[in-house]
Amino acid sequence: MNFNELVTFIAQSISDRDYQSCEQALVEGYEYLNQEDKPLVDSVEEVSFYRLYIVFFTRFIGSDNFDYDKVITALSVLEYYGADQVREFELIGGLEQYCDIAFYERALDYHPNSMALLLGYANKMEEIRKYDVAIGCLHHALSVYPEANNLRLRLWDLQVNYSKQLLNKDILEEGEIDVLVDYAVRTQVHTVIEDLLNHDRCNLSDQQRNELSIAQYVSKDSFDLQECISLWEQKWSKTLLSVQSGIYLVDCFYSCGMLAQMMEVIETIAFKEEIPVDMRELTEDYVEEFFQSYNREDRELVVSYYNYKALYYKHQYELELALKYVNVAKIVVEEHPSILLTEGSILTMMLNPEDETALDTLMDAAYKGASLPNYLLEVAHYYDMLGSYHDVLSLVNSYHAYTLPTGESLYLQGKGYFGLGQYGQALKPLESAMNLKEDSPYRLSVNSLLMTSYKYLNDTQKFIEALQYRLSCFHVSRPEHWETRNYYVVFLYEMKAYEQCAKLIVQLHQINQLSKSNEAILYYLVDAEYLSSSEIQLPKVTEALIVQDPQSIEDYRANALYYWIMGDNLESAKAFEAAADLSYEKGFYLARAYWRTTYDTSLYEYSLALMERLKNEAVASIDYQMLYWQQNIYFRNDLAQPAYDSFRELIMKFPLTTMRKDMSASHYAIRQKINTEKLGNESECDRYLKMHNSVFRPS
Amino acid sequence: MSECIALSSFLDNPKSISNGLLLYYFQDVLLDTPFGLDPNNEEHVFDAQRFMQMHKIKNSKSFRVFLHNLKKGDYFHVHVKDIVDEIYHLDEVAFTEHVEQQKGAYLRNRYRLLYPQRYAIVGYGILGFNYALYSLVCRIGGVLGYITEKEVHTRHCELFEYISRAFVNGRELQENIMLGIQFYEASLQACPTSFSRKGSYWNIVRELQNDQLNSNHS
Repeated sequence: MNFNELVTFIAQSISDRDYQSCEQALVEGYEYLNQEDKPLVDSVEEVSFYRLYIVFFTRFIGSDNFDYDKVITALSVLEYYGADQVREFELIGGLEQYCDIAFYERALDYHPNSMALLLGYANKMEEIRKYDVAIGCLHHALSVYPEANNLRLRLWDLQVNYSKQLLNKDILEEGEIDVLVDYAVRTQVHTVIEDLLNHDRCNLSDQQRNELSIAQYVSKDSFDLQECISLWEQKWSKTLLSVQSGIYLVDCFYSCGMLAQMMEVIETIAFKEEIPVDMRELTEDYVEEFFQSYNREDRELVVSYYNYKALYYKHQYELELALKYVNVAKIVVEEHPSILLTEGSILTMMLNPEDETALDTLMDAAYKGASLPNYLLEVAHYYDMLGSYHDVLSLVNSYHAYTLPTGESLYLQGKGYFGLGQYGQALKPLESAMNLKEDSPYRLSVNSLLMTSYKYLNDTQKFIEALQYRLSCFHVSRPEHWETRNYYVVFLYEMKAYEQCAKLIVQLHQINQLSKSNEAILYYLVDAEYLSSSEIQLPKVTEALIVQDPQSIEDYRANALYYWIMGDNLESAKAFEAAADLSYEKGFYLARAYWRTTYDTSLYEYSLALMERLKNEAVASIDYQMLYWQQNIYFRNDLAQPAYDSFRELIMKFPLTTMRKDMSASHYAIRQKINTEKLGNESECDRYLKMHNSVFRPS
Repeated sequence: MSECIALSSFLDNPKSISNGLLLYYFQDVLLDTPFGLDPNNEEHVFDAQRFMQMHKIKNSKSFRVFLHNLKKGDYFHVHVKDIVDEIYHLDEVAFTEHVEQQKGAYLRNRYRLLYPQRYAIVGYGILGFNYALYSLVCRIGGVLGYITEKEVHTRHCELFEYISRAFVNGRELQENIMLGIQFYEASLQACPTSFSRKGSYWNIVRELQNDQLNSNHS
């Protein structure tokens, strides 16, 4: 076997995972190459042999044939040919128990961004307790690989150890105190913080004292928002803050929804002075110094800073301004997934269906590494805005495969079912969202969805419970409290619970909290004498009350009621019909419109059209009276055939009600007799005449 | 020397391996009890059910199958191992090409998460995550009545043997669990230090350690 074949054989057996014969061949090959009289071997083959040698023996260090010196020799041969790659260094760097510090320094000189080498170096430095170097090294690794969150745990560990090392020193320099404060804030270890705060030997500035007390406060088990706010106002807001301690407070206020305080904190955050990192300094001899002096702001904290700023404006609905901060953040840190997610959510809020940039941005965030659950939720929000509820539901389902349901995801699920009109289905996620222990900002939105669902499902009991919850959320001083009560008025009106409605509406009217549109309901209730006019004094209804340019259902309803009271049946019916188009309670408003038209016989065609709509769109709300009037209209207008048909329909649909009185049967017979007479159907006519004679008892 | 939860603390209480995950997934927990949640509390039972749904555990049988497979290193661990084997020998250029061929943003993210760490995890993949999840599911199973307190204990004693074979210290184990969570959520998002109450996993671990440190000194 010549050398060429040997190399091919080794490569083959590695890919076949036949490691035993591979090892044998490698040992033989190594001996062959290191004979006294060096055989002539093609350099290409020699390089690929040594590469395989390194790959194999760095993985199987337990083997008897493993020899660290031989591996290093192999590496130096590769270096001699100039064929060394980062991979070989990384593989050897993994053998921490054999490598010395000099090896890592040499390797980092060539490949400063290699995670494996940085980790190995940090471990070496930790062993000899040069914690500051190790910390700088890990910081550098994190700036290259921000996703390596597991390094942060190691970093925490090192920072705690370094703080203790420093505290044990007799004399602290000023720079060391700064570092100590910084690490104490990051690690939140109480003993270190207390040591720093209580010892006179270190002259802390006010800012440092504030930072330390913030760190101490947020790491406590119990958290009291009011106390935190008062501490902020009296103490912490007096000085500038470092990014880390500022972000603690911002996080804290943001999660409690205190946006105004959050912005105040953001204003006081001061960045460290940016020292540009010169990678040329990172040469073999200066690796240690380089990492020791590594002093840059954690990129992720800077990202959080801009992210919160954008979120603040997003929640204030100042979307343009929010986008501006997103763009600033994009210049500071390129293509960061969290920033892209925020941008996507802002674009979603500025919704423009033609414009697909929101979705593109979210996709981009996914490719840049946004976590799957976060991405799914944002896309679900996007489809929610578009009104594509099937997509929302499937996205939320896949979200639930990765994390437990949260208030936000359950809200979206409920909204999805709600949007599809499956109110019964929507109740389950919404109710469990209400039962979640964590306080989610979606709770009120969930509550209002729930309230509306109960309303459509006609579950009065549950509706009132949901309403009570909403009332309990808002203090009397808040306008939302009265909005809710006004909503209840409308609910009762649409439920035709006029007595209850009257009671409620009088209370609201007396304390002057009745909404403008609901005043119409008050006028109506007085007009229909559910309220006595002596009890409540109202001006007369005039044209002046009519909303000139009606847009919403409230406007149309008010107009309809005013026209009704003024006796303008046609306008009233039209307004009711327009209200029906906008309302979920279609049947109720169509029925109102229908009844208005029946008062004016000349409007019979309009009545019939409304009846047609009712039959198509809201069958459930047609009652006996309405059907009776329909046949009446046909009868009065000499439309014999439809009159005949609709009377039959009436008696089939409501047989008991139709025949509830003695005289009903004779009324029925005489009507149908006249109808059939007009149609010229004599046999039927005779039949009805006989029926009439048999039941008619003149009094 | 290390300030991290030393592995020996698992010996007295092997159940504490899943304390971090328990805090990560549930809102109020009873860390010191064998089950981690209260079986008599309706909300806790509901939470446990939802968690089981997430992993498609429907009954006692699928519960035991899931546990068995987790301990064997199936699911997440084997997936990671396959990917690491696939990319172990690729250099950066070849890796970029290789990732481009993968379909879907999330598979790509998983590859990109593992690539820089492939030397560190080639030996044990994310076994630590598998073991911690094993412990968590095992404890939560008690809330739903799939398992008795005694069995939880014996299973954890056995689990401890497995863990001490694979991991040298507690820090390595926690780092592994953290990587596992990131892999599961296909996330390349960093979690910087933040307000600890609504934390990411590493915040939770830090808090647990802080608690331990603070109680040791007082």
